Amino acid sequence: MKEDQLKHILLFFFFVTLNEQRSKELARDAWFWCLDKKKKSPDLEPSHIVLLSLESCWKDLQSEPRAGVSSFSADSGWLLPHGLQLEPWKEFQKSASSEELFITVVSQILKFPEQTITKVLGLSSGTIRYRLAKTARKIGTSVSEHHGGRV
Amino acid sequence: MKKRELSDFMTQELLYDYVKDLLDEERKKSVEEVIKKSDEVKVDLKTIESGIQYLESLSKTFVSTSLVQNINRRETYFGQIQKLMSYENWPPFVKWTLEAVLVISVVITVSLIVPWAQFKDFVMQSKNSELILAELPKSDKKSLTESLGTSEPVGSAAFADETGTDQDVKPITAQEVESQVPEQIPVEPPKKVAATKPPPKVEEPKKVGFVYRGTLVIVNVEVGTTKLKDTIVELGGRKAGEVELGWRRNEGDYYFHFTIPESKLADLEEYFKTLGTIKLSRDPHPRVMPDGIVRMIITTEEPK
Repeated sequence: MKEDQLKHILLFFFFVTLNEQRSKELARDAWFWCLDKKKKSPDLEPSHIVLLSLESCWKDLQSEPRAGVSSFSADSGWLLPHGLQLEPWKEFQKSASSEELFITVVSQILKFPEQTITKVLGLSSGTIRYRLAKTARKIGTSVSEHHGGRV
Repeated sequence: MKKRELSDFMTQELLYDYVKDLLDEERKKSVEEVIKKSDEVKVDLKTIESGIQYLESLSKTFVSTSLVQNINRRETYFGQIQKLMSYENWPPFVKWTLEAVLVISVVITVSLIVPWAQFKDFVMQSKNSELILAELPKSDKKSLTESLGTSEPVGSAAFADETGTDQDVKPITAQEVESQVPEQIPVEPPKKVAATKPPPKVEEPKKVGFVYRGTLVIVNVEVGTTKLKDTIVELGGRKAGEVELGWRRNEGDYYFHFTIPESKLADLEEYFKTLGTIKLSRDPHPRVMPDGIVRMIITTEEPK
């Protein structure tokens, strides 16, 4: 397991919770779960293990209320691109379904390949693309409302 | 063979794949043709592009090395215990229970430590402060009541029982009264009571009060007590203290604590004799009564 995978995990929990403290806690748990899993199943691809741990944690997270309000400081360790506003993302967090939110972060932000997602999560390419198209429209609409189309 | 054109709906469904360049060349051209013709599809395309562009920006979020190292560090056994012991991580019901136990402990400790007996004595002592009234001539009653700021005549003041539970009378120290009384007040000689049998002549100390105490033994005390009560009222007697005239005590006797005009004292003593056997004594008392008013504490009981 490499640090890049840990970065993926940290990014995932940051974007689904927008909470610095909670993200760190969840990322730590998920990361050590991955390390243990790798020890038990050395043949498994690290990216697959990460995706499995994210899916498992994401299911557990469904019992918690979704954030909607960001709670992180500028020096929290997650450095957003300069000038990027999070309002469209927060809007999307509120309106998106659980599956849409998960697939968007995993596919569009963490850039997991479609084949990996298909294989690990057992989803068809059509399902993934349908959900991504839907979320792209939602976020695009939200971006238009907040920035007049500018990102 | 005529080429089939895509509908707007179908094109919209393919727009995401078009933006992501996932369509084959032929399908891509078909979609582009529809985009050129349809404004609605153009707007939809722009929205999807905007969303994908925004997500692309989010994907450029950088995670600092320090954060990665911080997470990557395995917590020590001590750290895990410390995390578990942290008050913030405790379940709410454990927190509330602990708080309740703490509060109860504090209450019990305070109740055990505080010397309640001494505290009670202190409170009772402050309540038992003596009421000392100055001896004044009748002519100056008005000026005294005015200077004390009360409309209640001095002679009509209520008195506490011998138990000392005085609620109606405002305690006034002798110094306070003396400071408010004008100096060199001419003192009238006490009026002589015209009675068939004058009370026993006792030289009255000017600044020491007194109280008549007595026990009246009556056969059929219940009836006698009722008669005595009526007679006291008829003679102008007034209840002093808190309990009513003829209050039945736990000992089975009846208790009278009252004030009466000194001029009626002889009549009252005569009436006592008609009811039964009276033992009456005049005892010194720190409370000084206004001129012409005497205070009596009488108990009535069945003969033993």
